[in-house]
Formats: sequence, structure tokens, C-alpha cells
Amino acid sequence: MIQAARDGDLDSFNRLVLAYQDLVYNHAFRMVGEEESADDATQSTFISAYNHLGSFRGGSFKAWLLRIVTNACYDELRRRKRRPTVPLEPLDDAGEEVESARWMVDPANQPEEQVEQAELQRAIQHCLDNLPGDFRSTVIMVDVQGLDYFEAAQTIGKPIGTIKSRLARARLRLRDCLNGFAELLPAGFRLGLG
Amino acid sequence: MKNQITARDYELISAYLDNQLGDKERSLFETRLNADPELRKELHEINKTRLLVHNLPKLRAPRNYYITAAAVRAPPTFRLAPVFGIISAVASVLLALVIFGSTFFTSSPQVAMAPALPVADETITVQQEVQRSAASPITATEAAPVVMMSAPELASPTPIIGALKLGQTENPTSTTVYLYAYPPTSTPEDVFALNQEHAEITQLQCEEYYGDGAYPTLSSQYDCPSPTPTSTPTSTFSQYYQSIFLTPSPSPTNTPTPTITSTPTITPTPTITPTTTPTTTPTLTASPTPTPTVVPPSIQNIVPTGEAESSAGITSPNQVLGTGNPTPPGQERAVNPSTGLNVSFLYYLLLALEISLAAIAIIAGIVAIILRVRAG
Repeated sequence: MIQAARDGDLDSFNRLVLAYQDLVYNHAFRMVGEEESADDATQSTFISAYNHLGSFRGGSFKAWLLRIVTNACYDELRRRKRRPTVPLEPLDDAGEEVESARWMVDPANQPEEQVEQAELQRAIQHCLDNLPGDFRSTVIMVDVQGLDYFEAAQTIGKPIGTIKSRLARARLRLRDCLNGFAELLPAGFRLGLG
Repeated sequence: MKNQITARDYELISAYLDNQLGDKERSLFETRLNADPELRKELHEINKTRLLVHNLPKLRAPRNYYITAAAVRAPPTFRLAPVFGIISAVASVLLALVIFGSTFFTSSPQVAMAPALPVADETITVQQEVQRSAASPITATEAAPVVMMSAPELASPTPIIGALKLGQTENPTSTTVYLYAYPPTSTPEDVFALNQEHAEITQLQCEEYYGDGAYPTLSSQYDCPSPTPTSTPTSTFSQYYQSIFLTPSPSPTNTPTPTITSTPTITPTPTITPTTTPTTTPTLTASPTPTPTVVPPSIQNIVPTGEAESSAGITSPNQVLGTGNPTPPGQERAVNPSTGLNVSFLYYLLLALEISLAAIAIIAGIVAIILRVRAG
């Protein structure tokens, strides 16, 4: 399928898109933390992959795609940094801004456990967003996407020692960040309680 | 006592949790874990953090990201931005080079572009001429006659320098010298005979009219002009023309063009200005205070060409046209419109080039900025 796509078969490439789009979108969302930006990064990733399919030398197509989407997310983060946007906050009946952007979700219709789970996910994403870009991409590749050190090193283009160092420091920062959301953590995952 | 957990320890913890340690490292690390409760506590917290991130839900793509042929072939406008940026940078560098080059060009003295004086004897001749003029009384210059220096012997191979040397024993006085050539249609023998006859007649006439003291040099070769004043070429236009197009005197050896030169009557320095431009019209170099002179009919009747002489490299001993650059250095400005036009053309060419490069640099830079802003 990859070879057919390299020969210019667009249908073959679209089958690859269908197989990897969840992986790419998930990685993009964890990197940028926004759905719209993740959508843009995913779209540009597949366009760039199709245009540069000739440079794929074999190996892990997944790692190759993750490298492209990581670079697309860096571009998206830089673009967002140059043109910071104010998120559209909804107003309540009194004309006050609703604090949470998750105003579309009605918590009354969800079980308490799901609400807590969503809050925990936002807390983790918040801590990921506070990481430096290099640390973030490394920890997402290893802990979210499940790549081993060698694949992560191939994807990022750094030695394994760099991956080890970045991963250890990223996890340490995440631990310190999540300590501020101890009330959201499940009982078995509360940090500092052994 | 609490052991200090180092960055290396956290790397070992992460690698241990990810099963990335070798057997020996793993065994050593497990030994430390058993002995160090603080290290064990950190291991548990890092492991919880790792699991929290790992258990994040796997998001599904909100839509299908199929690639269409139109999307693939869409022109990437962002790629044009660096192209225009490079164009702007290159134009800026070229502009700087052109400005530097033009500055060097305009700051160089124009004398440097003129060829060196070919014969040293010319300077000697001019100096003798200057000394001779300086020795003449000023009162005589007020009434100095206009003396014609003709070039009757076209076939004579003797250089022009020799002609002046022959006449340097004459009484010095400031003169107005007319230089011209005979048409190439005349045969040398005829010209020589006619010239001899003409010189004798004119000498007698001039001596009768002005007296012997009025003929400083080469009296037999001079024609006496009529006292009718002529209009001087000094005018506003000519001054402007000279201020623009005056260039250093070129090599005087190949100047067969008839030249009319009038020396100042007040200053004793005679000016003999040769030109290299073979024009059929006699070139007149005006002095600051020109003496009213009359162009003798002999000059007007002679058709000046001299091209054959120029190509042959032979000049008559009486043809004073080739006497070189007699004016002291730095004081003479020879009129050479062709060279002046070339210099002016180069100047305006450089100016146009600078303007064009500046426009390209500015426009390409603005386009690059606009493309980058539009691309976000």
C-alpha cells in the first residue's frame, strides 16, 4: 500500500490515512491541546506526507508519520504564539463569562465518575501543555503512543540518551504539576500517598 | 539521613519503569531500591504519573482526512515568501556593491583615465614656450597679433615636436595660434610649393603690418590674420558644456584634426590644446580673456580632414597640432565631448542601476512580508 502510494496512487494513500488518522489526531491533540489546532495539524500532516512520500526510506511508517505531525504541531504552536487568540468563552444568563470552555457538556446528564474523569484528563492535558515542546513530544510518544526508546529516538531524530534524559525530566515535571490536582486523582493514583 | 535523588537517579527510574535497563544495571538498581526507601518512593510516584498519562483516552479523529488531488496540487503560497526574501536580499547586496563601485568610480580622478603623455619632449617644448611668453612684455600682448600656425607639409615625416623646437629661438610673446590641416586631396609637392609661396607673401605682409617683433616663432609659417574681431565661443552654454564634459587631454600624437587655439593675452602661458576627436569642424578652445581675432580666409578655405595623416602616423613639422599638452599639469582642460559623454552615460547608467536594485529590494521585501503574514 505504501509502495502504491509512492507511485502516486491517491486511493492507496487514503487507505493509509484511514488507518493512521486516529493516531495522528490523538498525537496532535496531546501536543497542541486544542481540537481546531489538532485538526489543522492532522490535515497538514497527511498533505505533507503525501508530498514527501518519496523521502520515506522504509522502516516504521508510524514513526515517520509521528515525526511529521510533531513538526506540524511545532509550526502550529509557533503560529499560535505569534497570533495569540482569545478563546470564545460563553456567557451565562447574567452576562458573565462561563469559566470552563466545556460549556457544551451538561454535567447534570453525566455520571459523577465521568465528570471526575474528564476533569482529570483536563488536568493532565494542562500539565502536558506546560511542558517544554521537546519534553512534551517525548513523553507523548513514549507514554501516550507507546513507542520504545529506539522508535522515539528515530522519530525525534535524537540519540537514545537524549530520549532518556528528556523523558525523566518530563515525568518529574508532570509529577510536580499533578500534585496540584491531588483531589482529582483516583485514590490509587494520588501522589505522595505511597 | 535522607539520600539525595539526582537527575541520573530519575533517568534510571524512568528506564527501569520502561524496561530499558540492561540486566546488570537493573540488578544494581534493584539493590539500591531495596536499600533506599526515598528512591523507592520516587519510583512509585513517577510510575503513577506515567500510568496517568498512559491511561489518557485515545482520541478518535473527528473526521476523515482524505487527500484530494486539488488539495495536493494547491500552490503553496508560503513557499514564495522565502523566494521573495532571497530576491530582496540579493538585490540589497548588489545595490551595496553598485553604490560602493560608483563611489569609487566617481571619487577617482578623471586624469587617471587619460593616457599618459607620449613624448617627454613636448613638455620641454611647452616649457620653452612658457618661458618665451613670460619674457615678452605685457604691453606687447595687448596688441599681440594673431598668428597662424599652419601645417602645409603633409608629406613630411618630421614630428611636430621638431617644428616647435625649430622655432624656439624666436622672441617670446603671447600669441593666438590657429592650427589646421590641409585636405588630403592636395599632393605634398603642391602643398609645399604653395605653402612656401604663401608663407613668404604673408610674412612680408605681416612684417609690414605688425613689425618684426610681433613674430616670436616660426615667422615663415605664420599667417597674419585680419584685425577684424571674431566672436568668442565663451558663453553660458559653452561654460556649462565644458563644466560637464571636460576631460583630461588625451594623447596628442594622433591629433590630425585642425584645432583653433587662442591663448590668453594677459597671462603669458600659451595654451595649445590638441584633441583626439577627428572632427571636420575646427575645435575652438576659448581662453578666459580671449583676444578678438579674425579667422583668416586661408583657414576658412582649407578643408580640414587629416584622417590620412592620422592613419599614417606622420605629421608635418609645421603642423603644430601634435605638439602635445603644453599647459602645465592641472591647469588645462581639454574639450572632449565623446569621452565626457561616455563618463556621463556611465554615471546615469549606474544611477539607473542603483534605483532599479533599490526598487527590487524594497518590493520583494514587502511581498515576502505580506506572504508571511498571510500564511500566518
